[in-house]
Amino acid sequence: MNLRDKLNKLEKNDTTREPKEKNIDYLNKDAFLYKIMENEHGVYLKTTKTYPLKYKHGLYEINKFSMQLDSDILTTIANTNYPEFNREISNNILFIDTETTGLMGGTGTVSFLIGIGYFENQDFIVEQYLMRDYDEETPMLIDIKDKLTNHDIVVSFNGKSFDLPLIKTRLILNRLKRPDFKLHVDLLHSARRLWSFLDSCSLNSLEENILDFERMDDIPGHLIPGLYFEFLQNKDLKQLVPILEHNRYDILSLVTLFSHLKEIHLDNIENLTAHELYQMGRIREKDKNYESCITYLEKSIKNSEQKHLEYKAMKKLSWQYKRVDRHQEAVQIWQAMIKKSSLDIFPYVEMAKFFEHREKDYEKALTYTNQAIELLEKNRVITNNYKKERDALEHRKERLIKKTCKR
Amino acid sequence: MNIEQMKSSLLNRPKFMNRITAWKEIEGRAGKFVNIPTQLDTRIKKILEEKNIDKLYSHQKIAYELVENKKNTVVVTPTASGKTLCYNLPVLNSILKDDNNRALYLFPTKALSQDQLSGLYELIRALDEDIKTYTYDGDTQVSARKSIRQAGHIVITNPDMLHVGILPHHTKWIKLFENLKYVVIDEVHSYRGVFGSHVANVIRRLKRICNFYGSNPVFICASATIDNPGELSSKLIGEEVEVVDKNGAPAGPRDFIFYNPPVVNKELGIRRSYVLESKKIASIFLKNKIKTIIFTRSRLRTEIILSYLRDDKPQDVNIRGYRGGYLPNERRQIEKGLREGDIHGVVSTNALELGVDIGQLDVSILAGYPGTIASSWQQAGRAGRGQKRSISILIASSSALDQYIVNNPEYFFEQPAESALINPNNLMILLSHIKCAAFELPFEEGEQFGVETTEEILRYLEENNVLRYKSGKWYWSAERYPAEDISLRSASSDDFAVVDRTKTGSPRVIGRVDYFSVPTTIHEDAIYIHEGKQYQVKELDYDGKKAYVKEVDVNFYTDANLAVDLSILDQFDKKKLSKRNSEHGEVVVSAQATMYKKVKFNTHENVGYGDINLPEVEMHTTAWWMSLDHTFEAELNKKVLENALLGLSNLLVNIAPIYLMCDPGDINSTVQIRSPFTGKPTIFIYDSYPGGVGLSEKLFRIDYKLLQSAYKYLNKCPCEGGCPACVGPVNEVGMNGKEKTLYLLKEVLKGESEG
Repeated sequence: MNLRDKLNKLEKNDTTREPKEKNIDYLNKDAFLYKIMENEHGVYLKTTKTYPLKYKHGLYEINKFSMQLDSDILTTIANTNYPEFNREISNNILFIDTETTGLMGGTGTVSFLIGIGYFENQDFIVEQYLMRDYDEETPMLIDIKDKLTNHDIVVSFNGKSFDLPLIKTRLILNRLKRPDFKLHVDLLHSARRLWSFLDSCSLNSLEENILDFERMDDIPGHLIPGLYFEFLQNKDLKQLVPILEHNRYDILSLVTLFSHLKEIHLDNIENLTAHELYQMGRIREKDKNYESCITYLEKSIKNSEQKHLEYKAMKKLSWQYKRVDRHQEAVQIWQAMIKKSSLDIFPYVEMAKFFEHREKDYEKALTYTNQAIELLEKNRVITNNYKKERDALEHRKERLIKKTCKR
Repeated sequence: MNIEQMKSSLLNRPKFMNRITAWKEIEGRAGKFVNIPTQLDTRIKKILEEKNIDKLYSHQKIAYELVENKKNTVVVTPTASGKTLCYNLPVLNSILKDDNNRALYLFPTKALSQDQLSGLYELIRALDEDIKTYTYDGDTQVSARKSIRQAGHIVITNPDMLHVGILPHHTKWIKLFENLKYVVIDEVHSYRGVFGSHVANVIRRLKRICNFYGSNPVFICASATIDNPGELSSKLIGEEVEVVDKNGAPAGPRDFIFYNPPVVNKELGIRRSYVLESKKIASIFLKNKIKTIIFTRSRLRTEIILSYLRDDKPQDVNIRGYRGGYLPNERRQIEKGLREGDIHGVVSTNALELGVDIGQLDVSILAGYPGTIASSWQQAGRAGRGQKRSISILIASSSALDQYIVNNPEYFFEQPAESALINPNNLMILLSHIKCAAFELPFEEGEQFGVETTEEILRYLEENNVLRYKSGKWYWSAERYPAEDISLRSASSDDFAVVDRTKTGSPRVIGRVDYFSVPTTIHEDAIYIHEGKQYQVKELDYDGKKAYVKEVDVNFYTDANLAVDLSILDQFDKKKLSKRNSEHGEVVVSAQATMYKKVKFNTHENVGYGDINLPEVEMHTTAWWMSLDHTFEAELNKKVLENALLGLSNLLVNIAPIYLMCDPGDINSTVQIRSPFTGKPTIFIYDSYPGGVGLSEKLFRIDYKLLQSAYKYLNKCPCEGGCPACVGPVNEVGMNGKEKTLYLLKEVLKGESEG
C-alpha cells in the first residue's frame, strides 16, 4: 500500500468526527487506527498502533530491547546514576517524541503532536496524541499527562533540551501539573559519545549509518511546522499522515537505537568499526574500566585502516598500559610509533621518561631527549607551542646531563 | 590654589571673562535629614550604622514609605543624592522578610547593570544574608542561566534582554514571575522616543505575564531631572505613579559659567574650536590639581582632548579617559582612582553621566552642549562635594543648539528641564509587541493591550495568518519567533546592517540604519560616521539589506539631497491665528534621494557630488504644519518666499530639539510654496519615525514659544547671510534668506502678540 492510498483512506474516514469512543476505524492492517477522544475539557485525536514484539525495525526486532536489560546497563547508556524503582524496567519505560509548530522553542511554540511508545502485555504500543486546533491542546495534555506520570523512565532523542522543556511549558500554560520523571535517558547524548565521528548525529543519520533503516517518502523535519499551519487552514487530515508516519518512525528508531547501544555496551557486538572501537575505549577509560579500555583500543588498532585514527589509538593505548603498569607493552607501542616516523615528539619524550624514571638509564634517556629536540627543531614552523615544548625538553636535557655526570 | 582661589583668579582673566555670556551663582542648600524608618529590618539598620548612616535624606524616606504602601513611585533626583538606596531599601527589606520575594531591575544598558551590581553586592555582602543577585544579559554564561532563573532574588537586566530573552521564555522563570514584588526601572528619563515607546510595550507584556502567574509588582522608577517624570513613568508602566521630587540631599554653592569661543569666520559664523577651548580651560584647573571632569559628545573627542591634555600637563597630574569600549576592569580601576583621589582629571563621554559611582569632583567642564537641559544638569552635578564650592563651565560649539543656549542663558536657568516624550500606541511599535505578546500568551476575547482597538489589531493579524482565532482566544500561529525580528532601538523592523570590510576576512557589523534613512545615509560612496571614525560605503546590497563599508580618512562628509513629497492623510487639530494657521495630523512622506554633495569639514565648501539611484521610500508619520497668510505671497516674489520658507524650516528644525529632548535627526522638515491641502505657503515638520513618537504633537502645542525663540536666536546669530547653525548656508537659502526669514518671523509674531 503506497502513501497516496493511505492518504485517501485516512481522508475518507475523517467523517467520523463525532465524539465518544464508539467509532473505531481500522483503516487497514497496515495503516493507522485513530479515534476522537473526549474528556471534560474537550476533544482531540489519538492514533494507536500495536506492534508485536517480533516486529523488526532496522537492525533488531523490538524483542531485543528487554534482553539483558538491567539497571547497570541502563545507567551506562544514560551515563548517570540509577534511582530506585519498584517496577520492572521495560514496563516502566516510555519513549517520547514530539512534533512542534516551531524549532526555536519559546512559549509560542506548541507541540501539536506527541508520540509515545511503551510495552504492555507482550506488545509494543505507539500512541500519538494530536491536537487538530488550539482548543484541543488542554484535553490532549490532560490525557497524556496521566500516561507520562505512569512511568518513571523516559527515553528521548534530544528531549533534554527540546521535547520535555516544551511539554513542561505547555503544561504550565494550561495550568496543569508537571510529571516528574525519575530518569531521563536522552539518546542523543548517548549516541554522541559513541558516534561523534559521524558528520551528523541526527536520528536520520544514525538510521542510515548505524541502524540499517531507510525511510521511504519521509518529510524533512523543518517542513513540519509549515505543513501543520496549512492543515489548520484546510483541516484536511490526510496532510498530516506524513507527519504521523515520521513521528512513528522516530519512536521505533528510538527503540532500535536503545537496543543497539545496549548490545554494544554489553560487548555483544563483534563487528564494530575501528572508530567505534576507539570511542568505546574512550568511554571505558572514562568509566575507569582500564582493562576493557585496553581491549577496545587494541582491537581498534588492529582493524584500523586510517593512519590518523590508528596513531590516536596507539597514543591512548600506551597511556593505559602505563596506567596499569604494563610498561614493556607501552614501550613496544612507542617504538612502533617511532618507526612510523611521524612528526610527533610524543614517543621520544615517553621513551625518555621511561628510561629516566623506570630504568634509570640516563644515557639512553638523553639520547631520546636529543632526538626529540632534533625532531622539534626540524618541524619548528609547524609546531604550535614550540616554545613551551622546547623549554620542557631543554629542562629535561639539563637534568639528565647532571644525572649522567653524577654517575 | 583651592577652588575658591581659582574662582577669583578666573574673574581676573579678562580674556576669559570676555567670552562669558552668563555667570550664574547658585546657592548651596542644607540637607534635609530624617530618622531611619523604624519598620526597617534590624539587619539593614545595622549595616547602615556600620556605614555611619544614622539618618536618611528626606526623599529617601518618602520613597521608602510610598513603596512600602504598594504605591508605584518615581524618584527624581540629581546626581549623587543617594537614589539607589530609594529602591534598594524596600527591595532588600522585603526579601529579608520573605525569602521567596523577587525583584527585577532594569537598566538601559548592559554596562550600567554591571555598575549597579557591584554597588548592590557591597550592601548584600555587608548584610551577610543569602540574597542572590545576578545580572542576566547577553553576556551571561549559558551554564549560569538555569540557576539564575530559579534562584535569583534580584535579577538585573536590560529591556532588550527582557524583550527577547526572558518574556518569550517565561515558563522557565516561574519562580520569578510568581513572586515578583518589585520592578525597578532606573534612568527612566532615557526611555524616550522610539526606545521608550518600545519599552512601554515591553512593560505591558511583562504585566500580562505577571498577571498570568498571579503577581502584581510595585514599580519603582528613578529619573534624572526632567519636566515630566510623573507623566513619563506613568505612560511607561501604564499606571498611576507617585512623584518624589523634593531632594533632601545637601549641596554646596555652584558657579555655572557659559563660555562662547570667539568667531573666527564671520561669513560662515564659525567659532574657534570648542575642543581646543575646553582643553585650554581644563588645563588651568588641572595644573592646580583641582579634580576636574570634562564631558565630551563623542568617543573620538574624548580621545582628542585626552591626548591634548596629556601633552601639556605637569608630571604628577594623572588624567584618564573614560568611555564605552574600554574594558570593564579598566573602567572599574578608573572609577576607583577617581573615588580615592589618585586620578585628578577624567575626560569622558556621557558614560559617566549616569549612575556610575565615581565620588564627587570639584569642576565639571561640558565640552559642547550635551543636547538637553536634563543632561547638562546631570553632567554639571558630577562636580560638588558635600558643602564645598564647585564650578561648572559649558563651552559652546558653533552648532545652533549650543549657540541658542549660551546666548539665551535665562532660557536654560529658568526653564524646567525638557519633557521626555513617548508614544506607546505608535501603531507600528504596538503591532510588533502585540505579536510578541500573543507568542507569550494567547489573547483572550475582550483583553486589552494598552488600546481599545486591541481586538481590531488581533483580527488583522488573524487575517494575515499570524494569529489563529479559536474558541474565544487568539493563538500565535507562525513558525517565527517574533521578538527576534524586533529591535527596541528602532521603529521599523527592516533595518539595514552596516558591515565593515576594512579588514579582509573578518567583516563585522558596526551599525544599523533604519529603512527610511538608507537613501540619505548609506547610498554608495556615502561617508558613514561611526564612533568618530569615517567609513565610505563601497557597496549597498538593497535586497540583502546590507551596506559594505571601508574605513577612510577624508576631510569631507556627504550630504544627500532628498526630494520629499508630503501629503496629509488626517488632520487631528487646528488653530487659526492672525497671520498663519497651525495644524497637526497624520501624513505620508515619500522621499527620493536624487544626488549627494561632498561637503568639506569646517568650511562647508562643496567639493564634489554624485548621483543616487535608489527606490523611493514611503513613511506614515505625524507632522505639525504651519500655513502662512496669502498676504505674504503678494509681498514677496515666489523665489524669495520659497527661500524664506526654507530658511525658516531649517531654523525651526535646529531650534526645536530644545523643547523636545530629542536629537536634531529625530525630526525633519519640508516646505510647499502652495500646499494642495492648505492652499497656502506651508512649512511641515514631521517625526522621522514611522507612526511618529509624539514630537510633532508637542510642537503644535508650543508653536508660539518655538517661533519666539527662533526669532530671538536668529537676531543674535553672528553670521552675515545665513549659516548651517541658523537658516542654512547662503548657497542653500540665497543671499537674502536670513533677512527674509527674519521678516516672516517678525510679521507672524507681531500678529499674535497684538492679537
